[in-house]
Amino acid sequence: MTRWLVLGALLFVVVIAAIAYTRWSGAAEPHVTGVVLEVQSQSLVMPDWFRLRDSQGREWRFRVDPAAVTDPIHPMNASHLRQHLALADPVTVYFRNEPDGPVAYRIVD
Amino acid sequence: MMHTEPPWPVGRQSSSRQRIAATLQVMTRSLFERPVGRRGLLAGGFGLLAAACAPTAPASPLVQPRTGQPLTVAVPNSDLAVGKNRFVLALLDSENRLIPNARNVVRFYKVRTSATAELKSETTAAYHVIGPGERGIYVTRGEFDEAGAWGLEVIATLPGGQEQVSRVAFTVNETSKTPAIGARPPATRQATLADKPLDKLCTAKPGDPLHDLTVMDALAAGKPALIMLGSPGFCASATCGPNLEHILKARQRLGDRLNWIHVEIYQDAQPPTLAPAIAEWNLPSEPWIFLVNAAGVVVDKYEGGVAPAELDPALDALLTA
Repeated sequence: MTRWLVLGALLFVVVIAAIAYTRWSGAAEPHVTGVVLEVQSQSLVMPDWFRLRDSQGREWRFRVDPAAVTDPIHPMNASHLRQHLALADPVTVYFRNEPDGPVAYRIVD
Repeated sequence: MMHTEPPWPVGRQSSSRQRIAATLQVMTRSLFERPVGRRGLLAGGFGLLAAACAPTAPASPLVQPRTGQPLTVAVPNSDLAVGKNRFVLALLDSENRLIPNARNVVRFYKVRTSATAELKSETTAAYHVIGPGERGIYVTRGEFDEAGAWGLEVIATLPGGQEQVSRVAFTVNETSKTPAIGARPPATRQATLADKPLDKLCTAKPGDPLHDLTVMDALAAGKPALIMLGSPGFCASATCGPNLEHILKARQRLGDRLNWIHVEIYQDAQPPTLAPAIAEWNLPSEPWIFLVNAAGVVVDKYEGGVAPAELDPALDALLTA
């Protein structure tokens, strides 16, 4: 009985460690780097969506989670995306896949 | 660099995009295989482009595979309206690099139907360095006589001497969102140093000296004014910060012949709450620079980055008008 308890505890620890590793290492975070080709927004702050071309020449369209534009240190709002567009400054987009397409939740210079 | 597999297989691009690409290839060929009259109707792909680039996002999310286009044109403007407009372009090569100083021809078309577009004007765009690293933007002036779907065609000579064509669709609104050229801007009573300390008025580090006067007082002063609305402290790219540097240098040169005003984007210079002035000016983006004449009327306006080579002559003209 004790042996099974120990094995179970070990298994639990291994699973938790694996989950933590994938979260912290970024391995579970899909992301892509490229230049912004188009920004669609109704406001200065919140982009509705934007189009990005990655280094392999593929084009992506991302809707934007409000979390991506509320960073208090460096807000990546719609205006800032336009500045990146104008100067072809690349951005890295962290996204999650939803049924309607990818949603950017963090955008990094 | 691509780090993950795309969320949809590359082969699942929408069929409409394939049709657009095919149509554009045909239309690009036809453009050069037969002469096109200045006022002639050009059977073109702008209608399809306009549909593809309409404000409502297409139902089918991308991924679009590599097109390998040697020239791509992108338009950062967010407030194009009937009348005269400062039109900004970015030209990119197939490796996502800016193409500087390309000889170019810029054509504006009014999209008529999904298959026809009317050539309205032809000009060139000047390349202006606006930040560190010699990075810059192409700037031209477009005059649009009606609202709706428009198309832009750029013919650029790439560094290797190769001539390439790229097209993009854009929308022209009936009226400008921001104060229009020829209109009086809002008589904003933004906070000044009389109300708050500089660190609550300005994100620039150190704070700039453009917070003495309200817009309302400037409009009543009978003197030309430069009004910058922007947030230079949160600008890691080469736009707001360099804009402010250019303005401060111009201020050194021209002194108090103009009134100089900086209105911050964020309330108390701290995001996320926007300053009330931003709603008054109805800004769809930032930064903006407005030039106002002695009568209190907007004579020009600049969205995004601006170079001294573009701003300085406009300031001189403002003073001699």
